[in-house]
Amino acid sequence: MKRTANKKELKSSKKHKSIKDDTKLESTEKEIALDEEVDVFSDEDFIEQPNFENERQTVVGDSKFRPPTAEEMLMLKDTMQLYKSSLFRFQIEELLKEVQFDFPKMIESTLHEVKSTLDSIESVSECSLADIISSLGVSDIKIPFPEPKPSTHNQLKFSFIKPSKIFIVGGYLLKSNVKSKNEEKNIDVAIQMPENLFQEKDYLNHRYFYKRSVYLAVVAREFNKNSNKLSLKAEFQYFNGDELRPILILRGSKDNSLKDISKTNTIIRILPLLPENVFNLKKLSPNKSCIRYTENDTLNNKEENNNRCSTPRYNTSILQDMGFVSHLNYLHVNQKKCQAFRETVILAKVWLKQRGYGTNGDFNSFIFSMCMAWLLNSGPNGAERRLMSTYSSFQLFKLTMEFLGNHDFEASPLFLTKNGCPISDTDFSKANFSLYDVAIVDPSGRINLAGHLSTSQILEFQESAKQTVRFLNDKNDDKFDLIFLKKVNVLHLEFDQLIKIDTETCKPPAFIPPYSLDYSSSTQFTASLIPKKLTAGLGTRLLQCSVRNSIHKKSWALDATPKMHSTFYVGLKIDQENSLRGVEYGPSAEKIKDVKAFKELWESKSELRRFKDGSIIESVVFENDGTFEGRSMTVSKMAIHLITLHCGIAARDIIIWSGAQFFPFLSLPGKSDVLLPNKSFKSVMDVFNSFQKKLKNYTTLPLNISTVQPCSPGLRYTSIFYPQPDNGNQMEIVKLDEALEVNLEFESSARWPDDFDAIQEMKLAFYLHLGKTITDDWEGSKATVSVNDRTQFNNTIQFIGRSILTERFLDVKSPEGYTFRCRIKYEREELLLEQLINPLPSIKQASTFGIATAKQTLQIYKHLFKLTPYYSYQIQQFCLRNPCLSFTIRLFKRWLSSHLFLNCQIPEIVPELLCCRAFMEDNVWSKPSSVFSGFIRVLHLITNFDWENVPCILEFEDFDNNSGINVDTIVEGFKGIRSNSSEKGGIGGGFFFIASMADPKCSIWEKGMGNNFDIVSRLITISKACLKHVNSWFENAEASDFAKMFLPATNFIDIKVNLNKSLIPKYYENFFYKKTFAPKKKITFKNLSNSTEGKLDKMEYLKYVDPVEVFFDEIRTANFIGDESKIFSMFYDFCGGDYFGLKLNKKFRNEVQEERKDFDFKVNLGFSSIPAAKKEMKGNKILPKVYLNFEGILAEIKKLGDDLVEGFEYL
Amino acid sequence: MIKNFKNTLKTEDTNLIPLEKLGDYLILPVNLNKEVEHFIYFKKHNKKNSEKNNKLSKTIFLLNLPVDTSKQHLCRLFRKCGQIDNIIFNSKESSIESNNFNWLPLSSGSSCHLTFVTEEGIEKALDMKQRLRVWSDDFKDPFNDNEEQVQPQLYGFTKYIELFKSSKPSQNILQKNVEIYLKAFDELQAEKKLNLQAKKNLPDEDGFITVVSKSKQKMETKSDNKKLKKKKELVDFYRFQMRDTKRQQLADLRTKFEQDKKKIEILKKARKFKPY
Repeated sequence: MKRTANKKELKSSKKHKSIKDDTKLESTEKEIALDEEVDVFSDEDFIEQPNFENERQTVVGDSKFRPPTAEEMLMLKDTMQLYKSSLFRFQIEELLKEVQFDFPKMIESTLHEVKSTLDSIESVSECSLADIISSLGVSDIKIPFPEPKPSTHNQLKFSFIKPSKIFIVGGYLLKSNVKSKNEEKNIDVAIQMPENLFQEKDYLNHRYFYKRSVYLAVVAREFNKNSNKLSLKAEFQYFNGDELRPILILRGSKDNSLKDISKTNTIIRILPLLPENVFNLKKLSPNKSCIRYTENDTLNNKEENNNRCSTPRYNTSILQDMGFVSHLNYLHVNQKKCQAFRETVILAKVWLKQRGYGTNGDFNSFIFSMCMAWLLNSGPNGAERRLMSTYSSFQLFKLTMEFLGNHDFEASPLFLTKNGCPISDTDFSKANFSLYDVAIVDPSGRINLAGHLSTSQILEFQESAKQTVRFLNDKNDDKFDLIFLKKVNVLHLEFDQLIKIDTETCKPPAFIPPYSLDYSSSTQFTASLIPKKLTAGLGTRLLQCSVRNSIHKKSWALDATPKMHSTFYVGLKIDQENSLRGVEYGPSAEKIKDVKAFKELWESKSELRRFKDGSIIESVVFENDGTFEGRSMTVSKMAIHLITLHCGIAARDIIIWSGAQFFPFLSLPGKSDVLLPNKSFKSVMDVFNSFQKKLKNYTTLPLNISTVQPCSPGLRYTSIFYPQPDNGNQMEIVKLDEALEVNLEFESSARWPDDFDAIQEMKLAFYLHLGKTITDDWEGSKATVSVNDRTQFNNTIQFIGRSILTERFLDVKSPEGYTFRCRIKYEREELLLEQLINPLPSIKQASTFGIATAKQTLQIYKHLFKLTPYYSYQIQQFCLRNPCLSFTIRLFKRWLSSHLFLNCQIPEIVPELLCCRAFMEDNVWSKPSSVFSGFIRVLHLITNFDWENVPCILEFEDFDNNSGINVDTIVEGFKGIRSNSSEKGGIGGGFFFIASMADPKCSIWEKGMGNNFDIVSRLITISKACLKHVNSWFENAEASDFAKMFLPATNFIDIKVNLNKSLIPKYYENFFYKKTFAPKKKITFKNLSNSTEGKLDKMEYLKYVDPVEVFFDEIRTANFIGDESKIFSMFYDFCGGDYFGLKLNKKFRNEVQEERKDFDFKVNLGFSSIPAAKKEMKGNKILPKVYLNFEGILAEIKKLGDDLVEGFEYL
Repeated sequence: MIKNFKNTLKTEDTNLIPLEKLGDYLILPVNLNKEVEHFIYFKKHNKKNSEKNNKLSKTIFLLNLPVDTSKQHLCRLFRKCGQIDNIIFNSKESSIESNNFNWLPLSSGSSCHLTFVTEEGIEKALDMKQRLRVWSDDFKDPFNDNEEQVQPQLYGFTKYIELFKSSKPSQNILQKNVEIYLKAFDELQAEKKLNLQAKKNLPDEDGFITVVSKSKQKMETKSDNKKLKKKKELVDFYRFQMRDTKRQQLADLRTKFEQDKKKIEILKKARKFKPY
């Protein structure tokens, strides 16, 4: 109430501009989301009492409270009302500063010269086709005739008269040019061809376009002649990819003369135009056929013939040449009216460019500006205008995008006429414009500006527009960089599957006259056909299909013909779940019409089938073996089938990137030598579920088991290889039997002892009891309790990540052969450990624990019993919701492992969380839905995330308000940690800060792992290299190249410790597996085995003991490897790798390669040393120096590993 | 045997060079294998203010031990110096008796104190000469004939197998041990309880009886949710209120504006506005 009252007063006073804004804004307030805040500034009391304010100011003395100047008020107010936030406004301003530019002065003089050249072209009198070809041929000009080329019998007469008008058009004139890195900047010069060159009927049968080509060729000859003088080089190019309309482009000749414009990266485009009304507009309405087709024309009815063969695209090409000037005027008028028009066009250009639109005949900034100009005048269907000329660029941009994104182009064309309706002329009716895929009709109501756009192109544009509006409306997050700064148009990141079609000729069977007449080439036809067929055939599997072909962007020399070799990229965005369906259900047999359409689509592949529910329907079946790998191939199989069938392209010319290329990396190299029955997680999950049920049903235990939590990757769908049951004793090659970790929790009870040590013994008693219960109940199962107390000593835990909590457990082997490693979780342990760390004065220390041990144990407790089960559950659930996530995680882990990072530098949970993050990210690209896109997007996440300044937060669930942890608190905590450490000159919290509700401080990294700059930047470098590699496939596809991504670079390693392959029980996972080296056991024949009963062969222990892992622990205990303070960083591929890579840590590296680094001798150096001959004097004292005893340490490593270490290799 | 040793020692004494020095320490090279040497440093342990003076004079401090050092290794190394009384490793203090397979590697460069039975031992040690010494634990203590032969340390896979075996003890023994422990624990608890009970009713020195409540009552803090009746205040009613709100809003806006400006500066510095 108050507000409006104020406004009224102000209205009457009309003091300054902001008031005007106010009144106009009022009417549209509901439409645009403005901040409905109290109007701070229009309060007269506030403004008009300077004396009072001065008083206040002296009292408060705070500059924030000083009286605002009118200017400041205006600025603050504008920002509030016209922009999303002041930050957004600043960003827009900065961006505009960055991309705008003025052409250098020299361009102007060049343009003058171009004009005088054009003016000086001599006329050519009428001559025949043959004459003109030969006369231009003499000057090495090949006339850029469109297809079909004029026949030699063509009676057409060609002549040339210099352009009747020459004018500069486009961005140069509107000052809306945008900088770009690789592309040239255009200056468009339109030349109007004199009207008297054309005859009334020239719009028919390409005659106009032949004449246009000749005209252009004559202009080209002139420039070619003067190329030295002008320092310009002329070439032909298609205008917006339209093969009917070639244009001339002038480049700097790179002769380094003063005139040479190549330095400015500018090109001048010469566009031939028609005067308005050269041809009768009615004859060129969308339904008219302007290409007379005579051969084999069996249709007698002329009317029908006209309709069937109407040539809307052809017609629009002529019309666009005629309407160009009026469109330009329209834009010019509106730009003058609206202040922010120009800026908005620039924003739109940047936006389009980032998405790769606007260069190849798809949605361009011209169409955008036309639509925006129209919205400034009127609204759809006679509604009120949508935009006000006082709006800011932000509002203009957002509202135009919103409008374009939501208009249903399929249902109705968009008429940019005054009232938003088709004009009364029936030739230009709505129905006629519906002949186009997309129609955006110009203000005259006659010309389709988007005549060459296909349905898939406009849908793709609309998706982007809608997404951008969503980003702009996001109140919590500033997504400016996603909207304008991020390059979206990146083939390998955009799509889930990418199809490359590389063919000289595509001959779609449907490309026959009269249907083909409207298309100037089969390429163009195919490009619009593929999305249509794929959309129809793939159904719900497909979300979006885009075609990218770059052929029309290229220019060609005057004496050449355009290269027609066509390379298409067809990008598919698919639906994760639906894409795995192998059967496409068609219509039931009774619906004859639908069946016909279905059969036309699939041809012989379609079969009538009876399904389980009794329905008899047409259907298409793509067989698979039921595995994920098999099922995920369905989309590619269907796509290949449809493309070969309908586009006349041979299957060998089609390459699909769908993730199938990655499948071999997850199959086990030694699979034929070890028995591996499982091809999915199903079997292990089934056994686990029945095990879980059994546990919960035991009533004879002292306490009932309340929860069973899976904690192993194998139980959350993320182990690199499917868990395999123990295969008994049949195979010769020994393989490690890996246990699956499970946490058990009992119902709460007060009978537990109140002492940490006693609880451990109590647990042991439980394990024993439980083991007995299980073996009694579950036939064929085995249960063993393990106790390994070696890890813990008085003061510290010697083995990182291991303690009494991890080393005491119950192994239950199911009858099927899976081993479940059960540990009991008891919540009070955490409290007791905390009490040991911070003992209350009243309680006496009763444990054998030192404080340090208690601290470490507490950390292990949190890891083992809180984080791991939490993430296991969340990841498992997330995998179930995203069918291709599991495979992506496994692949990514294998990749990380093959680069020697996983488990020795990066804990296993980290890659899993990174993959989840890639699947939940709100990015410019829709979430990945195939293994291909999943894997690449994870690599992209690693390389592009701002790890230093932003925490990577995983929102598996909505943040719980009660816990007091939310995104903001995590970010705040993160910033605190970072700023604390930056003073000390390090990166606190680790480089990869990955947090979630359960773990706001990122404690998933174990001590000694490589969450530091060195390791992480290496990982980022490798990821970048791999992404680059992926990109290069699209240019030059060789499937074998995929292996390169999984080959570790060893250049950063100093020493290889070669391991004895026959003692590596996971050797069968090694990429370079060879049976001869694999660990083998002695085969004992049954009749002889009695004598050795109960005694295992040494090699048989490899089934239970992974010597590599124990060895790894030992050399870590010896402080040889670990974090940066230790001697080496270690790298190892835990998937059966046959060497350790050791890298000497920075501390021991000397800048000079040859010299050894010396250290002052002291007692606790922490490494084995050699006395150095070098000595240093300090006063009278001699300071002895030592070196690192490099060879000695290697000898010690060899000694510890014994037969496991084969030797060392210096790199 | 022993006689032979003495003879060789005597002959060597005359020919050989004494050990080199590194600061205060003597350098004792040992051969880990045929080619590679490891350097142990040692000196007489002389810590002041210690009570057991007589024992101190028999102790040497060894530094930079190989990671697999065991008592056997050191006994062998100093076998010519005399009987060894005790060795204390500074980084390894196991609560579990270590044997030939569950030994833990020392951390690289760690140290120990070695005490001889007699002072003669330390003199001989400090008087050691340079010669080839092989690092090994293959040694039978000549001074301890009665003791059971100590098994040489195991390494590598053989060691790991033994470790694995020991981590799977017989379930019966395990059961028994657990029962014993828990029984003892229960008894201890019962005793404690009794003590507490006894304390409860016994007057202490000053004649007071400590009162201990049976169940610790939870200290329930009175909830702070006292619903304070707020005086209903009219907001935006008086002119001064409105003015204040507006002033505050302006101030907020300005701060926000300044903050955003700063942010932009940072972004600008990071050159974030290059779209491509």
